[in-house]
Amino acid sequence: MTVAAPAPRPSGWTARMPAYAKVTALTAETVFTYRFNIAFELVGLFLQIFLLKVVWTAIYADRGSVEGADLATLLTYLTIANLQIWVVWPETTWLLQRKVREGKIAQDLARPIGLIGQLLGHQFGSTLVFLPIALVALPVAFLVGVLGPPASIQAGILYVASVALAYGVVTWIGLLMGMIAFWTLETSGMQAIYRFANLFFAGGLVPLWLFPGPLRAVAELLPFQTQAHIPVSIYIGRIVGVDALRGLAVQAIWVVLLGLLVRVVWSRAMRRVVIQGG
Amino acid sequence: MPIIRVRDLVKEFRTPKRQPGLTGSLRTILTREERVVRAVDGVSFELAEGELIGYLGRNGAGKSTTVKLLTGILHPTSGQVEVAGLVPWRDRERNAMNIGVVFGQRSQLWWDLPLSESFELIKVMYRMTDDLYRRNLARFTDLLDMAPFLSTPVRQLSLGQRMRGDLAAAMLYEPRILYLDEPTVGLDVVAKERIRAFIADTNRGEGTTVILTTHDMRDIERLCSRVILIEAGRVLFDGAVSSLVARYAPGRVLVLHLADGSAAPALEGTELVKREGPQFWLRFDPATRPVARLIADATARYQVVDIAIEEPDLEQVVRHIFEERGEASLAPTAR
Amino acid sequence: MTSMLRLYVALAGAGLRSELQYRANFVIWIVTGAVYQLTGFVFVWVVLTRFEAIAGWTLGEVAFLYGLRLLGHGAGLLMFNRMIEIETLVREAEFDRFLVRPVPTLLQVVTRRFPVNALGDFGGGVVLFLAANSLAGVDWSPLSLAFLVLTVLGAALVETGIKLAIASLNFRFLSTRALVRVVDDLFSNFGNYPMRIFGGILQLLLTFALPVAFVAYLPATVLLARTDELAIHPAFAYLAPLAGVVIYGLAYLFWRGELRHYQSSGH
Repeated sequence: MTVAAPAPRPSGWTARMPAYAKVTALTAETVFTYRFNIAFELVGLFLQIFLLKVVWTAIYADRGSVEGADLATLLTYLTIANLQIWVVWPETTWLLQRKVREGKIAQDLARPIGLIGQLLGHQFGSTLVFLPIALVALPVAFLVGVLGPPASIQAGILYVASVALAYGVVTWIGLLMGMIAFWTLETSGMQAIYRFANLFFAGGLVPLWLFPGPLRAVAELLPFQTQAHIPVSIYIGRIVGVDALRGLAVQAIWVVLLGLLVRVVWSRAMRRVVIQGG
Repeated sequence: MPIIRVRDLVKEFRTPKRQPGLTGSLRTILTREERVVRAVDGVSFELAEGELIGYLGRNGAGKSTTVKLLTGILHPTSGQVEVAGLVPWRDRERNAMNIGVVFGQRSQLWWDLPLSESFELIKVMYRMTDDLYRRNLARFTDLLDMAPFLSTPVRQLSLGQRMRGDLAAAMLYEPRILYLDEPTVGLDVVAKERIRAFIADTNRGEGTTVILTTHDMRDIERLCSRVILIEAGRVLFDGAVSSLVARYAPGRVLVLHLADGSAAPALEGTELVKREGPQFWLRFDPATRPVARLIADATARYQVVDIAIEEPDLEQVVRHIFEERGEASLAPTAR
Repeated sequence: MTSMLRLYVALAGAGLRSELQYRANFVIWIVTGAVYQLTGFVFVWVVLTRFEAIAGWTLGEVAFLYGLRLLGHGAGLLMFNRMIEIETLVREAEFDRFLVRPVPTLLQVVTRRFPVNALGDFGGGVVLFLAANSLAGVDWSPLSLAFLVLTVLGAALVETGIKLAIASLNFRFLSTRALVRVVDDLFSNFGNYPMRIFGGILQLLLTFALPVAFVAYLPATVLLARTDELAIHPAFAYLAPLAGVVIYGLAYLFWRGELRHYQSSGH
């Protein structure tokens, strides 16, 4: 029998363990509850991708290639388009609406970082959370949908550039929709319409090359095609070389145009805030 | 024949111990680890038709839970309740015909519609005849002075107006029993008095049995002859207001207004119960400390601006009871 | 029964008038409902103008199926409201006020707010169904018309019955919002297609595990004379409207049972 040594007195960081544990637990909890919702969103996303796969497989039936795309290419297009639309999502709309409704605009404007800065920060922050989740989701998307590699290394590089431009477009659209709250206080109906219109015209359900002529023309005049159709077409090698660069140019033009629109609408909104109070 | 009979009523709340996260949520569903809180712990009382009683207790003492059991909102864990011959949670809809309920914090009116439309809906719900409806609506409109805002949407009414609307809605179909949960909370003095007058009239005129829960002891003093005091889910006291005062705070109160109010007066045989600036409320027992001698002592020792003798008011008594008990047993006040 | 109907009309009318107070929203939500449902259909339309058929179903037939599902979905919403709101009512103890009224709680829940966007869903369904009807060339007889009416009512009961059962779990303070979303997705996405395309196991699951097939696919095979393609006995298709009655009945019993677990607030 040895005599038990006296229990060591807590000192240094061990003494602060309970506090660390609590902070860790709290952080974990918020992250987990957040993820709990994301997990169900992912289930919805996978269901959508799976449904598209089943339906398109039935539609293709025994056809080899339609409009120059075989079934696997088409499914890759749809899988990536849906994943991308989910990840690259305007996160600022509801935030701005909430701030306007709660009348916190004036006090936000007084902060050094600026309201636009805060909103952009929120947009990037959310994306930073979603991006790794989407990467983890890729294998599952592969199982429920179909996922192929990019057509070439060059296509892969151009794809990344194109997604970056798509992200710019989405960010501006998010802000524009949120700013409508300055006039209407309510944006949820419009957000819902955006969601469906975007999904369809970005190519989330049907590749744009299968649109009937007039609808195709409409789709190419709208900004939505910049969000999935152009980057994904580059990825699968459907638009290459000069055409790919032209696609990027179209995206860049939208980024600039929408950026200008954001400036105009923002200054009008600010005038409104000044007149009516935040 | 009592109209309300409550015997050994117990209500336990079980809440699953929630665990964070996805796996935690699954575990919560699977293991069903529960936290049990006994909100009502063996309450018994009876009420005769036409009584108006005050049901008192601190937050979390179990008074709202009791009312929810009596109105049929909650099912009890054990015990019996009979309200006008019905078991509220078993005959919920029939029981609802007999009772009127007003929650001070939460309006039961149709928020976006004009007040009069709420009354129309009540009429349909409680299957009122046209005649009864017209008569009572006219009477309450007059009594509660509702004519100016009958066609205003409820969300635009002031708190006092809304409360009048809620009271009228609860009384329109002439229920035998009226449950009032904090009916005067947040109202100004004038509005409070109007509500109290209405409650007193209803009770006296219609013979409606009223159970009133409130934090405002003036409501009780003004309206109730009987109080039931509940603490930690048990009945602490059930009887007349006067005997509550006599039992828990015997004696009287000497009110001293001193020229120099910096220190509390130290007078033998008295106990300081309240202080407001240079005014001091000192309780004493006139049996052992004759009033005349006490006054003489006080005026001799201090420079007295004003002096008065009061019966202790209910608020002081109730605070006194809770303070004493609060030391002894820490009741679950957290909600 | 007639007094219940009077109550329903009075309370639903109040719900509608409440909603009409917010006129701008009213219009937006109707448009949203229609746009949401019709985007799905535009998909079918675009696809079938290019490809003639899905699993042997022509554009007209798929549109017919789609329209039928929308009618059932819209009718369900219009009659029984959005069950997903029950979670908030229970959590914030709004439910108290329903329990002190001499009216069944469910009747008060379904009439509380008028689900405006359902007008868009239902309207979209009507338009689509009428258009599809001429394309699909259905032979209408009094019997098939009666079957159609029963189908729409049955479909409304199937979908809301499932959601009612899920919402009943809220009384035990479980959050079901996410689950409702997924079920909603399954009904509104997988219900629109001839189920042959899903293959054996999934088709069975969507028939008996989550009864999506009873909403539109099974009755549509009856109206389009396609019951021979079914993997299950055609009697299920002919009796599909009954499924709604059974499912809603069971869900209501479950609701009544779970109601005793309601805890209100504050303890």
